[in-house]
Amino acid sequence: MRAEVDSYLSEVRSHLHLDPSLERRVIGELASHFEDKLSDLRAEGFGEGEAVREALASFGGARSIARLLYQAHSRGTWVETFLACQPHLLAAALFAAHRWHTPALLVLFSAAVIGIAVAGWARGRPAWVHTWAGFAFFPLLVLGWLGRGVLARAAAAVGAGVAIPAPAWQPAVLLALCAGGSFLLVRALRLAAKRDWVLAALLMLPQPVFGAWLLAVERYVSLGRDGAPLAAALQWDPAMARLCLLLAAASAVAIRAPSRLFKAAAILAAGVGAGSLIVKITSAEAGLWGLAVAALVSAGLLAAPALFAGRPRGPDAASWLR
Amino acid sequence: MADRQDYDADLLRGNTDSLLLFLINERGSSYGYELIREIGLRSRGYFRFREGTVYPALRKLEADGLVRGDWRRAAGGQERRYYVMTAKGRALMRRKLAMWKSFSSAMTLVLKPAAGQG
Repeated sequence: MRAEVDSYLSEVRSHLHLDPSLERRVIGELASHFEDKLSDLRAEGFGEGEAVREALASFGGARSIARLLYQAHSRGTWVETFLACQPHLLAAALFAAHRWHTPALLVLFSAAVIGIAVAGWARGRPAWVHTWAGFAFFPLLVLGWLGRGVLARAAAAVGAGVAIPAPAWQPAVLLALCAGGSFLLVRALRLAAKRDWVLAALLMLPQPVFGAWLLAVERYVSLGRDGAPLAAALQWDPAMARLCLLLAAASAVAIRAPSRLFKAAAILAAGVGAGSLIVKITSAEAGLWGLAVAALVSAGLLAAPALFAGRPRGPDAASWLR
Repeated sequence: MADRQDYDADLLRGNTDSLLLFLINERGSSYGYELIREIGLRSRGYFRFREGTVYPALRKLEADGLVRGDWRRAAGGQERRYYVMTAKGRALMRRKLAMWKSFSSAMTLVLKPAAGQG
């Protein structure tokens, strides 16, 4: 009969979506309650089966208890909210000052986001670190995208059985970086989604808008050259700065809102809205269909981590009650 | 006392924090099951919680810095999470109790039949 209590506690845990160590402490407290309750009920003369049924009935539904526990713990502090907004605010500052193309600032920004994301990830993955992780993957993705021509030429040479065009180390390094970056991104998304896919969506939040912007920059201007083409890209900077502020606001809601529904809604609305808006701003010929495709792709990128969601149940269920 | 719940559940939900803070303060430290049992005993079975809802309420009080929780091992070897009051919690409890007493007195005054109408 104790298996029923274990199963109940495992069900509560499967709906908690909290940090694993916190989940263990929360469930440990509930298990302690059941031990006391069952002991008292037995002392009152209840049989084992009756006692378990009575204890479970007086406790309430597993899902609703899990939802209330989530609400009690999911609301980040103002410090955590401040930290979560920073990468978006830094990106907004780079665009507002028209400095996103300054190599030294880009290197500094990339080093900061990667360093803070790695440090935060290693220290228990607090919710705020997911916004930094989202930006940390961006330099690798950009490098892979810009170097795809080199990779394609190398692949064609290998396919034709001829020597890879010099310098041969370039495609090798690019391939290693892309493969490593993709592996790390998928692993990070899986880990985040295993706890809560809303956190994985928070990690993906900058990708739709920055992806669309990068495509537009590449389409209309030649990167790295000064003069008129760069000026054309700079005209979108105020819009990008405002969209980064929108993403910062959505991140703040995702950290502070007590309800998972509000968190998910804020991330999806901001991500899909910003992804569509940047397409509208950078592409004059994008009609209603173009915007619809942009919205769908943005929603798909943000919701894709849900495929990784799903929590292991069972193996540790026997350990809740002693 | 009444055998079944004959009050609006929202009324109890709105005062759960006050009850928990008062009992934790009075006992010095206490754990979830003990608090639930104590509320049941003192109200002579009138207040009936869905017991599971007390734990989110305690966790919320802790997240708001009103109580502090820590694990202690009881004499029988069982580990329990005890909650103790913080200064912030004590201040809020005093405010809530004062507010409840004023509210309760005003309700009694209003509901008392006026002279000559009883």
